[in-house]
Amino acid sequence: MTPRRVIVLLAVLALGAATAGRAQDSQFGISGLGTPGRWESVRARSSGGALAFFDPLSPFADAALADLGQLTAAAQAAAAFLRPELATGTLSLRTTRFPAFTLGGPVGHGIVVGGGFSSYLNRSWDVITHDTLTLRGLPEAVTDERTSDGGVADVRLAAAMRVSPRLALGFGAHALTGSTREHAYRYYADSGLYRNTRQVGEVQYDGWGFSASALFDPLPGVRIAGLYRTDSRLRAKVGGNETARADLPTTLAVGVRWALRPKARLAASLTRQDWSVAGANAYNTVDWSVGAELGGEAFPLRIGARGGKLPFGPGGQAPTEFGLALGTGKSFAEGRGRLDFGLEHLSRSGVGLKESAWTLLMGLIVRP
Amino acid sequence: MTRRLAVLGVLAVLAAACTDKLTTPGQCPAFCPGGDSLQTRDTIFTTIISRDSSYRGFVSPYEAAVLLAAEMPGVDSRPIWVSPGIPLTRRYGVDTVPKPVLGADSAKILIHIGRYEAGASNLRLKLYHMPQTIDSTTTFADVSSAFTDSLIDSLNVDSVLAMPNHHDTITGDSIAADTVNHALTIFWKLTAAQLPFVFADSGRQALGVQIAADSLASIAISTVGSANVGPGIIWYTRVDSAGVTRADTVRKLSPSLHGFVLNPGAAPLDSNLAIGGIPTARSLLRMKLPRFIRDSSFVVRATLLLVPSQAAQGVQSDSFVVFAQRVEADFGGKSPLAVARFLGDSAVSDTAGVLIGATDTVRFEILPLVRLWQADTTSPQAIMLVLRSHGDFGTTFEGGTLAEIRFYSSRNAALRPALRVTYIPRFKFGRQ
Repeated sequence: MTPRRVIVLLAVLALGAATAGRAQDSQFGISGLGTPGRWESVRARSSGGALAFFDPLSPFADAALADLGQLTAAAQAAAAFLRPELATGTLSLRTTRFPAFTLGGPVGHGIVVGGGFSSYLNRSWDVITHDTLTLRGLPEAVTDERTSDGGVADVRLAAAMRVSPRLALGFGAHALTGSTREHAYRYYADSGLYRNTRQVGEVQYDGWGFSASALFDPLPGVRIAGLYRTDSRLRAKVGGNETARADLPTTLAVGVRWALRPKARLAASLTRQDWSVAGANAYNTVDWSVGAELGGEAFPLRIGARGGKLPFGPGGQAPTEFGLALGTGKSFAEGRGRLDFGLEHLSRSGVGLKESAWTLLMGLIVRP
Repeated sequence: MTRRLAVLGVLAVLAAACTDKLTTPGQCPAFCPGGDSLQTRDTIFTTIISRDSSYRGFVSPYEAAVLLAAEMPGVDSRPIWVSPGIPLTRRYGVDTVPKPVLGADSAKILIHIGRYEAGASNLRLKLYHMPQTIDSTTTFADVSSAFTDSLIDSLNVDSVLAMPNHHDTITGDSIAADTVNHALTIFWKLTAAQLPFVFADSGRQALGVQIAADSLASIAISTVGSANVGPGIIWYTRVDSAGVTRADTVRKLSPSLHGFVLNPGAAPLDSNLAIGGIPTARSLLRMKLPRFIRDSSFVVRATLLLVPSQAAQGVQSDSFVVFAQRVEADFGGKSPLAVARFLGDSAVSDTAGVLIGATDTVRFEILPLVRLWQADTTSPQAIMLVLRSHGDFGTTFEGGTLAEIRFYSSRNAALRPALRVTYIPRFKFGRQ
C-alpha cells in the first residue's frame, strides 16, 4: 500500500471520529458512572485483551512502551451493534466510537515516551420513559426523554525504560477530562394545554490518575507483567459549580506471555478494579483474559476470550460479561503502516437485563 | 483486489454504523440515569397579583361603533342621532343657475340592524323626534320627554318580515333580510307630515329610536365604523327646475352625530374589577412572578383565575368575550395594549367567553404572556382586561355591548385574582 493510500485511510478514520459523536456500550452503565472503556489496541482487543500488557500501542501498561523502537502512531475505530434484551423486548442499537489514539517513540538514553487518549468512561445514552401524572385533578400522560452525549477521556503521558535486558519499567500520568451534553425532555399528551419542555445542560468532568507497571522476562520466551494504577476521583461540574464527586478505582493487574515459538504467542491476564468506591450500584470487578497471536507481523491471526464482571448494574449484584474475539492485520508500505482488524462478541447478563454486542474494530498504525 | 474489497467493506460497515441509534425504553429506576428527575409542579399563586385597578371611559356612546337599543328589566338604551342637512339648491347638467329645493314629499329612514335576537318576538321600533340640541353629552333625562311626546311612527319588524317581499304596501315600509350575516336593513317610509322638511334647518333631523318586544328586546344598529354605515335618511324632494317641478332624491347615509342614552347609566366603579359597560371600563392587573418561576422554571401552563363578584350584567341573550391582553407599557389606565407583531403572535392576549348571569370562575390561558415575561424581564408584567364584541369581518371591538362583568380584586383576600402555574423546576444536570 502506498503512502498516499495511507493518507486516505487516515482521513477516513478522522472522518469517522468526527461523526461518531456518541457511543453506548452497555445499558448497565446508565445508572452508574458510565461504561468503562477498554485500554486496548485493536491488536490487543482481538486477543481478548490478553496482549494489552505487552502491546506498546495499548494504553494499558506503560512499561510496554519500552519495546517501541521508533516513532509510532496508532488510531482505531469501533462499530458496535448491540442487542439489549429488556423486559419490554429486544432492541437493536448501533454506534461508532473512536476509542483510542496512541503516539510514542524513543527520546534517547533508552527512554521511550508515549501518550494519547483513550476512552475512560462512556456516558452516551438516550432513555425514554412513559408515565401518567395527575395535573389539575386530571390524568395527563407524559413521555420523558433523557439523553447524554459524551464521556470522560483518559489523556495519558507515559515514559518507559528498559532498566535491564530482562526488566522494563513504565510510569504514567493520567488526566481524566471530558464533558457530556445532556438533554431532559418532557412531552405531554395534551401539548395544546401543556407546553413540552426541553432542558439542556453541559456537564464537565475532571480527575487524575497515576500508573506504574513492569515487564519482567524470567525465562526465554516468557514475560510476566504487573500494573498498579490509581485514579483519584471524578468531579462533575455544571457552570463551574461542582455537582457531584465520585471516587475512582485502583487497578491491579498481572499478566503473562509465553512465546511458544517466534510466530506463536500465548498470553493471559487478570485485572482487579475496586469500582465499589464509586457509589451505589457499583461493584469491584475481576476480569480475566486469554489469547493468542499466531503468525508473523505481516499477516497474524489473533484469537482470545475474556470474562469478568461489569462495575455498574442494578439489583445488588455485578453483571457478568463473557466475550470472544478474533482478528488479523496486514502490514504495508514496507512495514511503515499496518491495518488491524478485529471482531468481538460480548455477552452480558445482570439483574433484569441481558445484552449482546458485536463490535467491528479497525486500527491503523503508522511508523513514519 | 480481494483484500482491497475487504478493506472497503470494513470501511463501509464503519461508515454505516456512524449513524447512532441509541434510544432505549427506560425501565426505571434500574436502567435509568441517576441524579435529578423531571418533576411537574402545579401551584396557585394567590398573592402575586396586586395594585389592580379599574378605569372607565374608554368608549363612550358617541364613540361606539354600534348604537345599542334595548328595553329589558334593568336596561333601557335608546339610540339618538342627527341626520345632516341637505343643500337647498340643485344643479343639473350644465346649469349655471342653482335650482331651489321646494320641499320634500316624503323620506325614508335607513336603519341597518347588525345584531338582533333571533328569539325576539314581536319586535317593534318607535321613531321619535329629538331636540336639535342633542350632542355627545346628552343624557337619558335630557331626552326623556321627547321620547314621551314626539313619536313619529312605529314599525313592527316581525309583521313586515311576514309580508310578501318583506314589504308593507300600505305604509311603504320594507325590510331587506341578510340571512347570511343575520342582519336586517329597514327602509322606514315617512310622509311629509310625519317628518317635515324644515327649510330653516336644511332638513337636518334629530331622531331617536326606542325598541320594544315581547322578549329579548335588544338590537345593535350599525353606524359609522361599521361595514354598513347609518342610520341614514333619503329625502324625496321637489326642485323648481326653470318653472318645472322635478322630483329629486337626496341620500345622507351617515349621521353627523350619533350615540345612545342609557337608563340607568353606568354604575360607579367600586373595589372590584369592572370590565365592559358603557362608557366602557377596563381593569389592569399587575403581577410579580416569583423569581424562581421567572428565572429558574419552565412554565408549561399558566392560567389566570378571576372570580366574578356578581353575575355578569347585560341583555340576557348576550354573550361577550373578555380579553386578557398584555400591555406594552404600564401607564395605568392609559397603558397601550400589545398588538400582534407577527402572524400567529400568541403573546398578546387570551380570551374567555362569558354568558350573562354567569358567576363561574373565568379562566384565561396566558402561558405565552408568561413566557414572554420570562424571556424579556423588562416587559411589564401587567394584563389589561377588556370586554369586546364581535364586529364585521371577524373583528372585535370595544363598546359593542351593554354587558358588564366585575371580578373580585386583590382587596378581597379570599377571592382575589390568582395565577395557577404548572411548571417544571430547572433540571439539575450533573447529579449522580
